[in-house]
Amino acid sequence: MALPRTREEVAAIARLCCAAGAPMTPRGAGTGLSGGALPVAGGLLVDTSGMKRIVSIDAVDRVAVVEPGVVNAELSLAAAEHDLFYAPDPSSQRVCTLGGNVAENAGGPHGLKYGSTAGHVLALEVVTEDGEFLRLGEDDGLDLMAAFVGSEGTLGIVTRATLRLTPIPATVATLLGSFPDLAHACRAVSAMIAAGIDAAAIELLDDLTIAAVEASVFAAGYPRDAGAVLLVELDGHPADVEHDRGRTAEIFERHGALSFEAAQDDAARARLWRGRKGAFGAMGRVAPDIYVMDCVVPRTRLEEAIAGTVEICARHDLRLANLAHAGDGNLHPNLSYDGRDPGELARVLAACGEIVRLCLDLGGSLTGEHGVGVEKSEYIALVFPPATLRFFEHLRAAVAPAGLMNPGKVLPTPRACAEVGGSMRRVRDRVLEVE
Amino acid sequence: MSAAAGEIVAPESESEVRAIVAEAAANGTRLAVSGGVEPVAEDRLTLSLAALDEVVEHAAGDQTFTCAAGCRLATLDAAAATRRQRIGLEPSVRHLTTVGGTVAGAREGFIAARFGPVRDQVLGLRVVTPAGELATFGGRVVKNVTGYDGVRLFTGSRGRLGIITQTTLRLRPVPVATLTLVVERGSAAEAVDAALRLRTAPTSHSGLVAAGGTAVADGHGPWLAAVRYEGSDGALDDAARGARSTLGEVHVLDEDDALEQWRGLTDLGAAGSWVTRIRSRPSRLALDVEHLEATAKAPTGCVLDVGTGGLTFVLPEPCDAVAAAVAELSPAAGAANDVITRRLTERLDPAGILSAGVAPA
Repeated sequence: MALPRTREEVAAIARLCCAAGAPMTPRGAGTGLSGGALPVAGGLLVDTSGMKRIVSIDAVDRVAVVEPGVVNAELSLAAAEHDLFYAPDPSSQRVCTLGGNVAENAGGPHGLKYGSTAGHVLALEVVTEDGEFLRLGEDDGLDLMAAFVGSEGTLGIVTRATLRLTPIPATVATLLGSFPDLAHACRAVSAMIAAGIDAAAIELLDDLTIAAVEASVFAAGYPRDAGAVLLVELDGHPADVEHDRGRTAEIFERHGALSFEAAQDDAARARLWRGRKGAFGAMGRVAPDIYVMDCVVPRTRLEEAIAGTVEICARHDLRLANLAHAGDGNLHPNLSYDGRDPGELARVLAACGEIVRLCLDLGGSLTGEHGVGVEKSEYIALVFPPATLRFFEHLRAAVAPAGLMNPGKVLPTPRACAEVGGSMRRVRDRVLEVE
Repeated sequence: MSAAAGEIVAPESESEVRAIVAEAAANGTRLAVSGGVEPVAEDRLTLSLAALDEVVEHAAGDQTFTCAAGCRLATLDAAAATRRQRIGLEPSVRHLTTVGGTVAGAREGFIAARFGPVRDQVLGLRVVTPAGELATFGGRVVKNVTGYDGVRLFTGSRGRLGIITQTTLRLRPVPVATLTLVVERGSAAEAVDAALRLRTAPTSHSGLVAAGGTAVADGHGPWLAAVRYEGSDGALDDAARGARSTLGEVHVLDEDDALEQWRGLTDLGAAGSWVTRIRSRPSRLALDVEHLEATAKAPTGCVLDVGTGGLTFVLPEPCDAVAAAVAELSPAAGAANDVITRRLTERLDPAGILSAGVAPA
């Protein structure tokens, strides 16, 4: 494991690894949920969390230049004195690093309005596997920066990022609606999207999640008798927020809401969000282990996707708690289990495979924000035709021809580039056989 | 395919595109892709996508629109408007512009100040590779990190990596109302400063510019700052009040004048003019444009996109001195970037039928 403190040290490490033919796995805070920072092929783990300098904040141009180890939330804290913030807000934002966010194209609840990390990266400095520096996003050539954001550390190591900062909205309103069941809540979400309500976040929690949250230190006062709640955030000019608040209340009522609460002050807002942000932690009360899935479907198919997920888990005799960035169609089914029981783990993995196929059948995709990593690399051949997979292989081989950058992630291709076509085909064949 | 360099073929389906490209790859015939109906290059076979204009799906509830690459933006606008939706691209010469050309060229509009550049509006692509195969990237969902981001990589690639045959675009709600305000100023620096003050309003805006020279109508200016606010009536009233209190005299444009104003700024540099664009930053725009104006020896038109940092500079005819100044202000791609681009295009397109000789945007 290497702990570089400067960009030059990162480049020197890459040159050493390249000379030795040793794989490199970049790592930020290690909070990723798809195993992107696991060194599955051995070699050196390159932990950039020590490079945590905010190099500059420019209030006129609304940009920050940061080193990769800066913690997500700390950038927003530093920008606040200029009335700016960094919009992508993964649940782990108090711990996760911006370098990791760039590598994974991290999302978060407010991605609904503000978009995921890719929309906030203006330029990158990257060290490639042979220790060269690349400066991306500043010229009019091919948009290679686009390929690096979300590449899960397979193309290079981010040593510096120029990020877009966003004005802190004048007003924020946080609303909570409770519903008799998931179906009613899902229909309310679809109606909000169809009505064009420009919400900053629309989060969904089901009854099991509510029960876990309310029994934990994250208790937020969610109605315990509800089948589901929707947590909605509106922000912007006070008149716009008030306009959309009224429309949201009306849609909730039309879709059978049992209750409607508008947070009256910052303390109440923080309380409502505490339950959502602490939900994964609270699930620890339910079972010794938890599998947090990440799938995405078109927003009009939310109800079918969640109903299908419930059916799959019931059939496999698994406890399911549903959380979702519902406004984006981004599902996070939480499957609780006891990892000491190999039979139970096998049932979890089988159910996850079925949920993936369900979401793909509904026109969705494999991952909305957690990345492919090692978790889903075997499924990627179900999403894309062979020509796309070959394109990905060519891209990877063009940037990292020795195959030393985080092998085994995104594509199931731990070997050198000349062999990847064959290995990809074998994996695809295997997945299709299982089907 | 019997057509040759200097001629045009207009396939009517994606499979025909694949067949033409596969044959071109086998023969080493270089292609130029166009949304029009005339050949665009003497030394290449023009492949026109004008006949691929099918609207595949307007999923209003998902705020997405899927269409073939030859579909006109005007068609998209009309369909989206029926559900009070719009695309986050600047209205321009819509009857001429195709969706595929817009994505491949990634021409940014003022509306990027609100919704981001073209690449943020594209959710999914179908692409015919230089080998004549079909590749897909992204999908029809608004949040997706599956695989490398081919959607963004192809956006603005100017056809070098493959031929876009279908796109899925993200739609946005039409705002309750819009309000365009204009203030006149004496210099670029003063106009940029006024625009930055207009930016501080809590009301959302979807366009923020400073414009000067031939971009400003006679009797006005010489420089102006313009903003297009969006929101509820209360938010717009508030923005207008704020602008008057900080900037003094402010012109409020009616709907028709506002449309004309933004279209005029978008289409600055009609046929016959020499247009150059650079990417700058809001804080540098005034300095950059003063440098260019000092270099030019003819009446110029300038639009500074204060919302995104873009600079458009127009001259009646090409000027070497200005071209040199532009090159000085535009960061060049590093050598390592060029190596990667070359390795990628050589792997994708060994015969160079799409990538060889295509100039950067």
